[in-house]
Amino acid sequence: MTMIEIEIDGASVVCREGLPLTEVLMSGAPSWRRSPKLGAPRGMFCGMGLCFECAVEVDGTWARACLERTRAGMRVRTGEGDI
Amino acid sequence: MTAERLSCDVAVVGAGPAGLAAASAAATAGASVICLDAFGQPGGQYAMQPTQAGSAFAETSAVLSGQDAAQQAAAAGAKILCGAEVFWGAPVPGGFCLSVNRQGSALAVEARAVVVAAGAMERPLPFPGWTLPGVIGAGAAQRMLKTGSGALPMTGSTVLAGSGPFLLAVAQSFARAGQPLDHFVEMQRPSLTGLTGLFMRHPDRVFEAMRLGRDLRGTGATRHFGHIVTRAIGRDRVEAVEIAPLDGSGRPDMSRTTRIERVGTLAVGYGFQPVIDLTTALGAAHDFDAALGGWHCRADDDGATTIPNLWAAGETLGIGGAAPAQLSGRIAGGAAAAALGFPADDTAEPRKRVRRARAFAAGLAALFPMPRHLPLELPDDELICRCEDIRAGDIATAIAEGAHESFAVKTWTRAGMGPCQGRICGAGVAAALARAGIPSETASYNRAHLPLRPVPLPLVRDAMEAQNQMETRA
Ligand SMILES: Cc1cc2nc3c(=O)[nH]c(=O)nc-3n(C[C@H](O)[C@H](O)[C@H](O)COP(=O)(O)OP(=O)(O)OC[C@H]3O[C@@H](n4cnc5c(N)ncnc54)[C@H](O)[C@@H]3O)c2cc1C
Ligand code: FES
Repeated sequence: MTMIEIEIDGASVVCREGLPLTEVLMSGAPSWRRSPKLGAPRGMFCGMGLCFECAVEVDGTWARACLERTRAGMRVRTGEGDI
Repeated sequence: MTAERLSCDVAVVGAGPAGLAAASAAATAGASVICLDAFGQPGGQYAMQPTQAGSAFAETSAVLSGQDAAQQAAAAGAKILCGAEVFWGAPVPGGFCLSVNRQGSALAVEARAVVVAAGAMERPLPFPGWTLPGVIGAGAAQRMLKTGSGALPMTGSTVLAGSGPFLLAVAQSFARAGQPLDHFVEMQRPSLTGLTGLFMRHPDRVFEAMRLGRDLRGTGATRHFGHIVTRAIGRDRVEAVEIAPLDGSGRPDMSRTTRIERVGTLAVGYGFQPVIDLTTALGAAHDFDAALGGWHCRADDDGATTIPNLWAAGETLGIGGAAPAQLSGRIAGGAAAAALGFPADDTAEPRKRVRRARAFAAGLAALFPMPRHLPLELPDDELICRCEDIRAGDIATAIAEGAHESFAVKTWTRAGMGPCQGRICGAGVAAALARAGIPSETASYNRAHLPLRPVPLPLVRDAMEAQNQMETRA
C-alpha cells in the first residue's frame, strides 16, 4: 500500500494511492457540491459515472469523483471550496 | 486540436463480460477490433477489478474471470481502451463514427460494425428524502467496497435496502470485505415454493444461493423482510431512516413504522435497467418488458439490432446476469465479424447455454417482481429530477395538463435535460406516468442527445469535425 499526498480545496490530505476519490471525500463529509436551484447539498449517488452528482474539478478540469483514482499531487476543488 | 482517429472493422462499446467476449470472438474471426470502456479497468460490473493490493476481492472468481476475459481478447488481437467514454455515435458511409472522451482528449473511432455492450445501471426510484447526502445506490456501496480500501468511509450505521437478488449480492460483498452491515431491508418475501421450484429446475445454482443466504446472516445485519424504507431523514445528510412493514395490499402500514437512528449510509437498490443511451442515439428500436428491466434494445438471436451492422449484447438487451451477458457477447461479436465477411464461428453451443442462463434469470426475476413505482406517496416538494431540482408536484402538474410521454414531460419541466439525460430521473418520471395510469409503451423513454455524457465543449467540437469529415468523404 502506497501512501500519497493530494490536495483538496487547498488542504493537503494523505491517503492511499489508487482509491476512488469519493472514498477520500466522503471520509470528510458525504456532500461536496450544491444543487443548481435549491442549493441543496449533494455528493456521490450512483457511484458509476452516470448521475454527475459527484462532480469536482481535478487539476483544473471537470471530473466525476466516483471515476477518479487518487494519485500523488492531484489537485481537487469541490463546490464547497472557495471556487 | 483535432481529434485522434482510429479505425477498425468492429468497435465494441463496453468491456464487461459481454463486451470482452464480443471483442474476443470478433478478433478471433480475424476482424480488427477496438473495445472501449469508460471505466479505468476492463471487467464491467460483474468483474470489477480492485485497485488495492491485498483487497479481499482480489482472488474472487468474478475478478479472475475478468482478467482472463481481457487477456483472451487482447491475445486474439483486440485493442482494449479503458478510460474511454463514448459520448456520441453516428452512421457514416461504410459504418459508424464513435466520438470518445479519452481521458480528456477527443478520439474518433471509425468502425464498419459496432457492438454495444453497455450493460446495466440501477433503476433509482425516488422516495421521501432520497436526495440527502449519504443516500447512495446499492451498487455505489458495492463499488466502494470492491474498488476502495474495503471500508465505507462514512461514520454511523449502514442500512442496505430495496429489493431483488442484487441486494443479497451486495450484502455478500459486505461480508467479504468484513464491513459491518446493520440493517437489511427487503421489500419482498419471496415464496418458499417459488424458490424451491426454481432451484429444482436449476440445481447447479443451489450452492450459489445458499452462500448468499449464509453471507447475509454473516454480516450480522438485522433483517427486515417485507419492509420498505418510507423516508430518509436528516438536514444536510442522512441521519435516520424510517421503515414500515408492507400490509396485505402491498402498502406500508404507517401505524407500525420503526426509526433507525444514527445512520451514516443508506444504500438503496430496486433493481436494474439496461443502459440504452448509445443504442437510442443510433436510432435502433427498443422494446419494453418489465421482466428485462424495462426498455431494452431490440435484437434477434444473433444480437442484430434494427440498424444494419449495429449489434447489441449483454444487459443492453435486457437484465439477465453475467452468464448470459458473456454468451450473448460471444454470439454477437462472432456474428458482427461474419456479416463483414470473416469466417463464422459455430455458435450452436453458446446459443443453447444462453437460453438456459436466461431462463434462470427470468425465474429469479419472477420471484422478485420489480416495482414500477414504490407504494409511497411522494410529497409535492420531493425532487424527481436531481440535475435540475424538479419536484414531484411540477411533474404531476405537467402530466395532468397533458404531458403523457417521457419526452413531453422533459420539454415541459426540463426533467431529463440535465447532465444525467434521464438515466437517473427517467425511472422517477416513468413511475409518475405509471401512477397516472399511463402505460409504459405510451410513456416511452428518454431518447439521448449529444453529448450522451457531459464532456468539455472543445472535445465535442473536435469529435464532430472528425465525424463530418467521415460523412462527407467521397
Ligand atoms: C451497479 C451494478 C453492480 C452489479 N454487481 C454485480 C455483482 O456483484 N455480481 C453479479 O453477478 N452481477 C452484478 N451486476 C449485474 C451485471 O450487470 C451483470 O452480471 C454483468 O456485469 C453484465 O455484463 P455486461 O457486459 O452486459 O455489462 P457490464 O458488466 O455492466 O459492462 C458494461 C460496460 O460498458 C461500459 N460502458 C457503458 N456505456 C459506455 C460508454 N458510453 N462508453 C464507454 N463505456 C461504456 C461500462 O463502463 C461497463 O464497464 C451488477 C450490475 C450493476 C448495474
Ligand atoms: S456518483 Fe454518479 S457520477 Fe459519480
